[in-house]
Amino acid sequence: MEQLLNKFQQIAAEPLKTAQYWKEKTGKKVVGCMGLYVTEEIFHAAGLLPVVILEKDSPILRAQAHVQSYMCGYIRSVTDQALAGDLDFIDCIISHDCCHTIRMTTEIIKRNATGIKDIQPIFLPVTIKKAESWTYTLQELSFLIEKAEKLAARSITEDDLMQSIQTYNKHRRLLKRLYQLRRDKPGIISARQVSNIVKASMLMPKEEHNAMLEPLLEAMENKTVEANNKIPVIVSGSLCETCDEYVLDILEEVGGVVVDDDLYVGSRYFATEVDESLSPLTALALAYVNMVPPCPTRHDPDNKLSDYLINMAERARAKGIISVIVKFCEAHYYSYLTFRRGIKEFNIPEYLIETEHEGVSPAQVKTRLQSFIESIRG
Amino acid sequence: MNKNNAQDRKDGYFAGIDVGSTTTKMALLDFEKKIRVSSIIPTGPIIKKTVDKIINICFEKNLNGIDDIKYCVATGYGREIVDLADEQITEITCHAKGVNVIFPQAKTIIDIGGQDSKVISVDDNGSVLSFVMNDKCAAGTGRFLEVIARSLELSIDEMATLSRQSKKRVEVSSMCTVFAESEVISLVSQGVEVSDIAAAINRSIARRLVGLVQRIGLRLPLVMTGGVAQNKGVVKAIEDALNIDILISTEPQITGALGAAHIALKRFQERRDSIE
Amino acid sequence: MSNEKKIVNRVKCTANISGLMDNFYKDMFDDNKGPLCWCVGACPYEMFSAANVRRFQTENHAARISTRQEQAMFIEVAEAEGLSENVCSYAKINIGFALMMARGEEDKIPERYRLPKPDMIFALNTCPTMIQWCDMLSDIFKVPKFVVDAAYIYDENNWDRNVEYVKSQLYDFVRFLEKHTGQPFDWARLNEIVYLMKQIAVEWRAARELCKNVPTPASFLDALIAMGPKNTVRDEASLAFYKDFHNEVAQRAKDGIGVLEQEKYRIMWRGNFPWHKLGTLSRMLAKYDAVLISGVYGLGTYGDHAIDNILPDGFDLSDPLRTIAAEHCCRSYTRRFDWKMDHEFRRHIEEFSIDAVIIHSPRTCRPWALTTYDMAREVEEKYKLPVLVLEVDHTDPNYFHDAQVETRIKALLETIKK
Ligand SMILES: Nc1ncnc2c1ncn2[C@@H]1O[C@H](COP(=O)(O)OP(=O)(O)OP(=O)(O)O)[C@@H](O)[C@H]1O
Ligand code: SF4
Ligand code: SF4
Ligand SMILES: [Mg+2]
Repeated sequence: MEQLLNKFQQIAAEPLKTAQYWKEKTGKKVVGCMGLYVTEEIFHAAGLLPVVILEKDSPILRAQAHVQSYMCGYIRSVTDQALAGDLDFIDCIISHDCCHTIRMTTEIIKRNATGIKDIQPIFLPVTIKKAESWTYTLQELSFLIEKAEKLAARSITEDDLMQSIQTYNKHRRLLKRLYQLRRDKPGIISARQVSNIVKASMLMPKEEHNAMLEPLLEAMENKTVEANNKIPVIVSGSLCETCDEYVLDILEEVGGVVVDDDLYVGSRYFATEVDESLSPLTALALAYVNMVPPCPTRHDPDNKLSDYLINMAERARAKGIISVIVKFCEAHYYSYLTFRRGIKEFNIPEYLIETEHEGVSPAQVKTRLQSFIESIRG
Repeated sequence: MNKNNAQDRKDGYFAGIDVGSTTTKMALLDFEKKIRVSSIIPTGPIIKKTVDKIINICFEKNLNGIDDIKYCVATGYGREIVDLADEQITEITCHAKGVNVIFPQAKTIIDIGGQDSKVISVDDNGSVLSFVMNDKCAAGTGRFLEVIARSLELSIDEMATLSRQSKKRVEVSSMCTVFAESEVISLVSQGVEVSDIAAAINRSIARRLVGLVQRIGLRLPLVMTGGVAQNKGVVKAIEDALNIDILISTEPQITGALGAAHIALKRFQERRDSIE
Repeated sequence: MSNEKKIVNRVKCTANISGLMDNFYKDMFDDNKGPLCWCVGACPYEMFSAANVRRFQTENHAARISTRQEQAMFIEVAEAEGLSENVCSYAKINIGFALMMARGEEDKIPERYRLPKPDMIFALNTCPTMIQWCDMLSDIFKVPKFVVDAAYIYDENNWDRNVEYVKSQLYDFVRFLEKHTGQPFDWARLNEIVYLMKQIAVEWRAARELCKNVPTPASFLDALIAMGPKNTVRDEASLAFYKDFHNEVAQRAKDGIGVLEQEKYRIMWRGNFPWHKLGTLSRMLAKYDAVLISGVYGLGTYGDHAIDNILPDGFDLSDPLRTIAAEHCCRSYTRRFDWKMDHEFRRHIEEFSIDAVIIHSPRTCRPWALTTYDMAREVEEKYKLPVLVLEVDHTDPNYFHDAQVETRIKALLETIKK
């Protein structure tokens, strides 16, 4: 188990190297997915290698001349990587317009990062559960199929798509089993390790990842955890951004244990399965408009974050909810407040941590999280 | 250390050490919950040295040896670096406890230290219900006051005293230290009375704190702790802004260390009970 | 440069605006005029009139509060509830306002801003903030909401598809309105108002056209003040106002009357406007004989940018919903960078004889702030004009420091080679 976990950790540690490694190893073209909800299955079906473009934990230098310091760390970091030439090996970046920040950054990258081969914006409807949104989504996905076909210089059949959907669904189910095990045996795996596993999945072929997951899950099934008096909590948020693992580390260091999550590099990435009984394109579009986790950047009034997280906390028997907001991620600020108003009646302790690319003082985060855990303990 | 020796049950002390960003505080309790000795010294660049120093100061005061400490709780931002400590607990929990000892009726606590300001909401037992902290900038902290006092060429005490002689209302709109400092300098150059500027600065701190208080909801009575609770100008400004009276102990700066010492005593007893 | 106060000779008839606007807001209290909708962002007001629904725009209301420097209290209430200081300051003001109303603290609100509680909320996604803000309001007041999504036009060839996308949602909105008013939608009235808007647009564009004169007969700030009725009221009285506005501007142009006694520098403004500092900025500039002539903000609605619309002059009188949809699709928010450089900068710089450009990068508005650094560079390189990127805010006073801003504006003007 340790060995597998180490391997995941290595893969997650150097996202760009991992992607480059797989590019060389498979000889496939790489598609970089920027922002939330880029339909990876489509590129997979064309024999391309979709990878998620992640925030990088290094100082932002070049992007300062283009992106204000009062923008979220994710896009500042991605712009910086693009300007530094780090993303030049990617054959095409698909940038989903999940918020205005990404919309404009795509333009900035296009203008200034001369080494970028291709960057293609797409727009998926914000109001997701409307008839028009459904048609619009279908049109955008068809456009992505064309784009993928051009890139791969081959056509994508319905069978190709269905096979990709099946591979991805299998992957989702394996990750869900991982989460089930964590709920059943709190502390069996650290939050950082889970984050590594999901992050690795964003960077490598799902088939390979599945092959690593299966033995890991088996080992976990057979392992027992000692009883402890750690406080079980769930963690939610961190849209697009990925440098928040230190928050998870601190949380578990001060006596908490993460028993489930609603994080971007976490359950949000695999929560929505695609219906295999429908025609593939319809199923993919449906999966988008019927996405399971409520998203701060989408408008879906009946899917409330407060209900979703309360259910998650109950299912995992968690005693507290931690929200992580990426500083300047505007949509998330509102949705957090609505969530906070929504859970008042449930009497479950909650706490907000705001993260920044430049890092917030770890001592302060520690004081906050430790106090939160102490206050639950009473 | 002979911590669980049942024989000398009535001898010994319980230590609380609060290593704050600006000052380090220590309080020693005996079995009767009486404060035997306490001390406040500046936190130096090397925390280990500061901690050694404060322990030495306390034990020079006619106590037996350090071995008589039965249980020690460290708190404050340097809490990890106290070797003597049996346990680390955050200053939020410790201030809540310390206040509960002095003012059992307290519902809300404002702790303004050198680097952080915190507002804590507590229940009748002094347990924390919720809390908020300033973000990482120095707005609304002791540090902010020190920077401004320096640019006014005043000591903190002088600034507090002067602020209460203010006759004319001026505004310092910015809460950011850097901007506020430049606002202050430009007010000085416009010939505005220093006392009026000092009062404006206190109001600006108060605004920040009131914002934090409102975020968790004001419940009375409210107690102020931390070094800045000794700054009468700031206290008055917060009282005015909230339109309430604030309770302050005679030694507000020691509250965190005191709370830590009380938790140490409680832990010791719990542990002994579970052994016996 | 001298330091004495310079006179700013504003267009006189804009003084009538407050009467028009006050009446408009007074109507909000008249229950006979149908249910009340709070609209977030630019909205298809024509449709509300045709459905007999009263409505006002929350951004406009927030701007009104901040022009009188009275925004701080509302911002504090919103932040105390837990809304981050980093969200759009319009939203903070309005959400603070809504919270006070919902808590029954109306008596603390200055009387001139008071409004009845909404019966419904509407938002159009020109900026994602608006959707979240709409959700919050609907949550605070527990009333129904309707959201229209507008797409990012990353490919100009997709115009039609995007107009259709908005239009089909507007049809749904008609049904929503009918459901909540219990009355059939008045299509004839809709046609009338769209026609009215066309007439207003004609007057408006003619007046704006005259600002290309040297000296300019009206400033950008005159225009900003004058845009109120066009953007929010949209009735017959508004048309009358724009006729007056056009006439006065024409007369001034004929007589060679400018905004300043001596017009030395013609400045273009890009981005939304720090409403709370409207007077301050205008005086600061006047002090150095500089005047804001043209700008990209607010003037757009059925206005300056009609030539960018898919429809020839911005109107298709045979299809009012298409007109409205196209109008909302052609805003700056949904457009690409190159499009903005061409339509927002080149056109203004060349046609209005601009000497320098101020680009506002608001601290709490992502859509107006992003890409401004790149815009500044391109304007400097392409048009060899000095540019100032002013990083303040549309209403939050915390980011505006008079002395600092003045120094920067002065430095900008000093670099103009004349
Ligand atoms: N008598 C006094 N009058 C006014 N201010 C005072 C007085 N004594 C101390 N202070 C202020 O109190 C601050 C230190 O308070 P305290 O010792 O509670 O901080 P700390 O615990 O070290 O900091 P933190 O809790 O932020 O880590 C200093 O900024 C100092 O200026
Ligand atoms: S983290 Fe938030 S602000 Fe940043 S790109 Fe993602 S959704 Fe937008
Ligand atoms: S465009 Fe800017 S000012 Fe307008 S609502 Fe959006 S964030 Fe606020
Ligand atoms: Mg302290």
